[in-house]
Amino acid sequence: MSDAIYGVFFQPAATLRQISEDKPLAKGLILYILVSLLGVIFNQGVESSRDNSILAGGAGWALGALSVFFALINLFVMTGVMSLLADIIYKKSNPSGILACFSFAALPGVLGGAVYYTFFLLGMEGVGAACLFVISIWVMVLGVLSLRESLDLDTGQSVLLLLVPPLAVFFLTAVLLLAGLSLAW
Amino acid sequence: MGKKAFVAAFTIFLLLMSILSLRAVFGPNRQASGKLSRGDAVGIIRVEGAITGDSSASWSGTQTSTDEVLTAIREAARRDDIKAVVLRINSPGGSAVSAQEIGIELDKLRALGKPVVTSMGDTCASGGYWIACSTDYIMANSTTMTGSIGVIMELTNLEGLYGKLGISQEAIKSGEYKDIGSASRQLKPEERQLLQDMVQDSYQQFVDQVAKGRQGRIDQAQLKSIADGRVLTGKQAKAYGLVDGLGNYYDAVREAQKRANLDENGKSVELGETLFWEELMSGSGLSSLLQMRLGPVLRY
Repeated sequence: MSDAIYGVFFQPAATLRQISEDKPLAKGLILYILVSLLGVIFNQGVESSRDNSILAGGAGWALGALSVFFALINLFVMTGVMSLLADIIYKKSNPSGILACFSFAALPGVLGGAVYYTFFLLGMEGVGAACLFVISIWVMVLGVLSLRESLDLDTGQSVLLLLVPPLAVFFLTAVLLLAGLSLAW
Repeated sequence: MGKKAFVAAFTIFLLLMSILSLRAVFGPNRQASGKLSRGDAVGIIRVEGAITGDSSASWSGTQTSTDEVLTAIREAARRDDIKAVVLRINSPGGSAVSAQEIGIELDKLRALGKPVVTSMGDTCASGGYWIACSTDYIMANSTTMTGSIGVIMELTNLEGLYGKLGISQEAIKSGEYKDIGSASRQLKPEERQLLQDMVQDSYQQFVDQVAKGRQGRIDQAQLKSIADGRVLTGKQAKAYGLVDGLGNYYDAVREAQKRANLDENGKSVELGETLFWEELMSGSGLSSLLQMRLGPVLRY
């Protein structure tokens, strides 16, 4: 496990390839849930320190629990969608490999919450927000690497695969909006 | 750095930050409300819309539930960092009992040595003014609508409508007055007298509350002359002695800070926990529709 954790940070491509072959699903899911839970705890810490009576209270914890649940749902849905698209577009499929890779790829995300909270406590919230942004990009890059290594694609193909769902949603929304507007006129 | 050393450092960092987070949420410097104590502050309690004893009132966003205000007042009493309270009232009044309950709790808070200042919004009339009388200082805007010292009980007689619809209501009752105020028939003279006595008694309690709260600032004769339900502007109310000063919300906060010897740039903290879903639902007006009542209710 420590090899995988270290590898995700320092040798992501090789580590994710190994994970996609070994498919340590249980470990991956536990890690993913832990990362989500820690995110909720850091967020609650920030909201409490901000005296935010709405988000620091019971409702905040309820929302946190919901966010963990939906993060897990999102992981499975993303895996399913990516697997389906890869099968349709590239005729390649490795759903359990993608799931394991995505679970481990989320690991640096936990640093986002922790680093943000550290800077928040130091009174440098702006620096924390910048770090959070950089770490989010890092997690996205790891998502691309996950697809590349688990499906044996090149980087461009992986990026395209990852962009297909948001692009499809964007175009569908645009078409629906245009249709609605033309009906209104 | 070796793999194990990195993983250990990573885990320790996460653990440390988790402990700090949980300490911020549940730790000893956290007050009962769930807020951090970081220096003395003025607590802000809001009374918005009609005041009602219905605990689900806050869902509507146009009413204030007594429970909500009482909880906030008790929080102010419990928290050591809250040195004074500003009661921001924007209410046309509401249930007589609710106003009384809030007034009693405010008196207890003041007895603890925590000054309470009222800041009147658009309206602070009737039951809203009852509550304001349980505070140390009343600040109004010059155009605030206030006063309306009086009691009203409204009954609806639907007898004619029922007749047209062919509806007749039968009441099986244990006593003569058990269906007093029934919407299905005309009020009898002795029933009217009973209810009038109730209204008069409540009115007298209201006048006593104002007299007690405004002691030394308005004389009895003048109070009697204006305690006829009339509405006054903040400026008029100041002239009569119903209000201590003219100013806005921030002037009221400053007054509270002054009374508690707090720094002018000190912080103020909203009191009373509002659930996320309550915030989300506020303004829907849904529950105010559900809370429509027929029957005798005493209102200030």
